[in-house]
Amino acid sequence: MTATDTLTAPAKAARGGGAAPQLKVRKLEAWYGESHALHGVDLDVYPGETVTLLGRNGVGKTTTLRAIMGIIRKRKGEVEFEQKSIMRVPLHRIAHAGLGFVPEERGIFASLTVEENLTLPPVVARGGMSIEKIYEIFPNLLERRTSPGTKLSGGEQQMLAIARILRTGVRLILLDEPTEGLAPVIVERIGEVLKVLKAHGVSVLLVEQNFRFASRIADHFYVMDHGQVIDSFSVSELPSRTEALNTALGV
Amino acid sequence: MTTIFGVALPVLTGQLLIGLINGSFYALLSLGLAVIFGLLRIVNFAHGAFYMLGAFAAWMLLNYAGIGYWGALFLAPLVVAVVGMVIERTMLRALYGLDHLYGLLFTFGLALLLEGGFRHYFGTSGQPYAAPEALRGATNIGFMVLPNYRGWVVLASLVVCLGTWAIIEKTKIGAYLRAATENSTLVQAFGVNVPVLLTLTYGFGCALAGVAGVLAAPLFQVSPLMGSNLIIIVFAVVVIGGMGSILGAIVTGYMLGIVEGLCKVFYPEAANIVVFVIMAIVLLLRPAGLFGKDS
Repeated sequence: MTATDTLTAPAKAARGGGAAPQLKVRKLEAWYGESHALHGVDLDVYPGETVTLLGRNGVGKTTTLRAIMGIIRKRKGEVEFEQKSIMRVPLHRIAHAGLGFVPEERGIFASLTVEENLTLPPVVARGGMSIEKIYEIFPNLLERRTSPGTKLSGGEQQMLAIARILRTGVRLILLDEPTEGLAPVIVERIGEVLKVLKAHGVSVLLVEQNFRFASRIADHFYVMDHGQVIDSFSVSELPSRTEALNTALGV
Repeated sequence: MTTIFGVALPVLTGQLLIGLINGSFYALLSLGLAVIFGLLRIVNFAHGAFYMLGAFAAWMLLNYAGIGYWGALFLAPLVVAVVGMVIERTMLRALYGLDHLYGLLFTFGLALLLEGGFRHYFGTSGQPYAAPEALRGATNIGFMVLPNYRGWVVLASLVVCLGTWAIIEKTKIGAYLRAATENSTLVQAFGVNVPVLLTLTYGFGCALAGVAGVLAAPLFQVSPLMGSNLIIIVFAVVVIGGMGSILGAIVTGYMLGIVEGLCKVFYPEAANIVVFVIMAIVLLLRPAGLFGKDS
């Protein structure tokens, strides 16, 4: 039994209601050149769950997302999405498997208009949101749709980064620090958007420094340190964990 | 006789037309270089060789297959594009992610190889290629007599340049190209087949050189060295316009052709170096080029 198994054992019956994990990561290692960044990450995301990776700066949270997605090719271990290994799938086929990615730097293209940014990612599956629906949720984007993408405010750019993935019909989104550097009122809006995602049955693997924000929307938490998952608990266990977490995260 | 600044009008318009013709080739070639560099980050030194290949493809289509100018105008660029794409797939691809210098050295070697190969079979003397019947002769347009074929070259290059600009700025595939130029990894993570996009883009850039080659065939002789004579100036044009800027490449191309033409009228001694003088000044004052963004 690995450490993670012990930790998740009590919650296991509840998570996923007996369904298989939608995303299953085992012993995932990754390298940046010679630098060994991940030392065997184990985690699960069950269908419809919002799962948050917590941890201090530089412990490998972003690297975990990038290694799952296959943006970092120098990696080892196992990543299964919907019971299929995606370790050997080329990067441009990953989205078509149903996995979406919103990078930390948001990745809004300056040479594309807001609308071009929005419609850039190909629709990979049915069930994505229509443009009309997206403009209904994000009226700002409709108003600014002919402006260059990077002329939007930071909050609007984050909305755009999430909105364009909603369109594609992916079933799980890897979302890297969506609230970073944003005003509280915008953070609130992003929280609402994530709830819309959840209502649509889209799973989310979220990297988040803002623990208060994460605690309101996540179903399950993993804590990372030194390129590994060191703790795992569900939202119901959160109150009893708060103190230990504050120490672990250094807040 | 009408004179402007003491120069007879026909002399001035004649040189302006020559400048515009040269500018048409500068624009077509630097546009291809800009498209390729923007996405692939490859300084395509083989561009002059692809231009030569386009002209030779037209000549061969005529002499070996009996396909005339209009057919060649479509087929020759296609041949050049296919050659370019095969080279990208089999060789150039291995150099992505390495220093720019490797791509530059590779394409430079490729240019030498292509030119050497053609020189071996065709020698250095040019092969004649006649303008199509419909475009022979000249038209009096009031202030000057315009040779029809030259008018056609300017028109065709304008159409191709503006068409390319429209494809890149206004279409979906153009949006992919612009986005991948900024961040190809993310575009690939969205599910776009970026490796294929790279191949197509290189093929397209080479095809633009091929079009220029076919347009040039009736004007200049079809010779193995026609590319290397032109490409040095075209690189100066790209440096002046700014690497990777589409509109910059087009505008600078025509502009410098005209500047060169005017220089021939007013100060002929400097006509051959004026582009390089401008390049030096631009490099000193705006290293990123007139239309380039600092990065």
